[in-house]
Amino acid sequence: MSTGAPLLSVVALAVATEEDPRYHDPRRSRDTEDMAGLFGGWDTAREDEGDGLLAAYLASVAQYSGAPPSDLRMLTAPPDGEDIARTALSRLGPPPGPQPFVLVQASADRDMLSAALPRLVHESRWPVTEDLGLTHLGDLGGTAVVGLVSWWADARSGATALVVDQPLFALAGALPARLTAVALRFGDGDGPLHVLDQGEGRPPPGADRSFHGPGACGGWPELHHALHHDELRPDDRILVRCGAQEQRSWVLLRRTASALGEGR
Amino acid sequence: MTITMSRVAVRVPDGRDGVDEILARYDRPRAERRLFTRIYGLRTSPVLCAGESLLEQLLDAGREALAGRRTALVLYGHTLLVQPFGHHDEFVSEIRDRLALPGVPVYGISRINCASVLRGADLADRFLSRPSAAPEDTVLVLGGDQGSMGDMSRVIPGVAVCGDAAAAFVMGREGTDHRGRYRYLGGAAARDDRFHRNLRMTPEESRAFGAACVEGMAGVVDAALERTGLRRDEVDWIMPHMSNAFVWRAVGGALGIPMERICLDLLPDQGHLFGVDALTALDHADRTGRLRPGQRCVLAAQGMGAYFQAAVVEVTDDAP
Repeated sequence: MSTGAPLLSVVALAVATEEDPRYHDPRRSRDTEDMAGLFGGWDTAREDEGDGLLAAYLASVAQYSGAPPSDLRMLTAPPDGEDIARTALSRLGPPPGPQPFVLVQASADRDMLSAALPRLVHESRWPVTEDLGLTHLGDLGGTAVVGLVSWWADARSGATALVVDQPLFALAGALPARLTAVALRFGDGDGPLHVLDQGEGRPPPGADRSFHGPGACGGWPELHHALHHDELRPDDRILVRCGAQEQRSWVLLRRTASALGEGR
Repeated sequence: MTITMSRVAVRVPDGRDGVDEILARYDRPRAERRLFTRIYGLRTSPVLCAGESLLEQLLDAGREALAGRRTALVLYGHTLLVQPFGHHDEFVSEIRDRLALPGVPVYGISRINCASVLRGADLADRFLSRPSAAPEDTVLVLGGDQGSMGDMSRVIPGVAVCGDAAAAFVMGREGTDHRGRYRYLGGAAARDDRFHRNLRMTPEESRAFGAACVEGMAGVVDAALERTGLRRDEVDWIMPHMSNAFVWRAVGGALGIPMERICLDLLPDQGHLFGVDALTALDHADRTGRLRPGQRCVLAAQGMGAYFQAAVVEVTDDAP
């Protein structure tokens, strides 16, 4: 995506995390409430043959990760019921007017029986014109969403994007120390962070600052920290990269003199 | 600028499971089983057989729709979030590698459930209409799910049994690089987020949801017609979301559109195929010679949550 003139800006961002999330062995807790919350219980159908939805999903996760199912751990409900998606949106605050909303999340939800997107819209009571979810992006999510917003949303009304990185499954011994959600509000070219370009592979040279992190949220939390500690100067070219591989996907921004919007 | 859609490449597996058999296995009450088969008109549901996979069906449909041409964007509308190829970004790699589309942006579109595929058409229309669009740009829209991964993902209690299928089409600006079969006239979307509890809804909420579905579906069809400047009596066909026949008797009544203009032929054999119902109905009507140039079709879909989506297309003179 090459935008040419800066028509799109990031006008506000907010971050929420859950530290030391709880994962458990799904094969040992099939009758627990957590399991019922995730998949409505095991399928009774052909259960002995391992043909239930959860069994099938576990097998496919194991195949994908190259690890035996016994090494897989599944995310449980947050201990305090706090939802990082909701918290990030709350910290971002409501939009200035009606605008679209996009939820970016590669994995399935902790609660598979309810629908996360309309729940977030319903609970926020924000004037959301259109909402949708982006899937299958993995670590690309935090940057690819900028490409979508550049043509999906009217820059005058802006858009809100919520990137949630909370893997439903992880390998025992390599469990994530933190789950992260980043809420981004986009607006027109008058904002504090102009979007200059976005892509995959080798990023353009000459960035003054670079922020990088794992997963779909990538370097956005570090950028958020730097902004709120006033570490960036006007005209700084800022690179945000997402994913474990250093040059995987990126967004190039330019800091302007405009003040950052709401968002804690 | 005229945006058109190619013919739809449909992949419905040959395997069938009996709806009654699925419901019995899922421990649904006998009264509900009778409701599904006798009132809803559902007999069988397509199922992938050994050696078949949804990914291959999607790739195959995508390949047919592209017909060797490149595309600028791929949108994959789907309902289920539990998929055998949905763990990270492996689907993006598969699409790029196996459809020879290196570097092309690929987005999974979901969380609006079965409205996601027709939403893909609406997104494609906007992508192609953006100021920086090149005349030769096209968008490949893919859709489909595998309900048979487990019965939990296959049965919406009281509403539908969901089958395995995939579909694909290409949208682009009508011209030398792209000749479409259907002119895309416009679409509309609606949301009723009171029903976000989805499968956790109470019986009272479920009853209210049933009524809201009829209202929502009729409303989004009207909204799409208004956006395209058409009246209800100018619609030749409704290509419906095929949850069940009962819903469409009510929606047809609410819209004043007779049942013979609602293409439900595939309902007994295929039932509900998540987000690709309307596309399979459109393809079926075309293949059986029912569509004539100039006819207007409304494609309609509904997603749990609740979401509603409609698209209005006009049949063109034939395309290669």
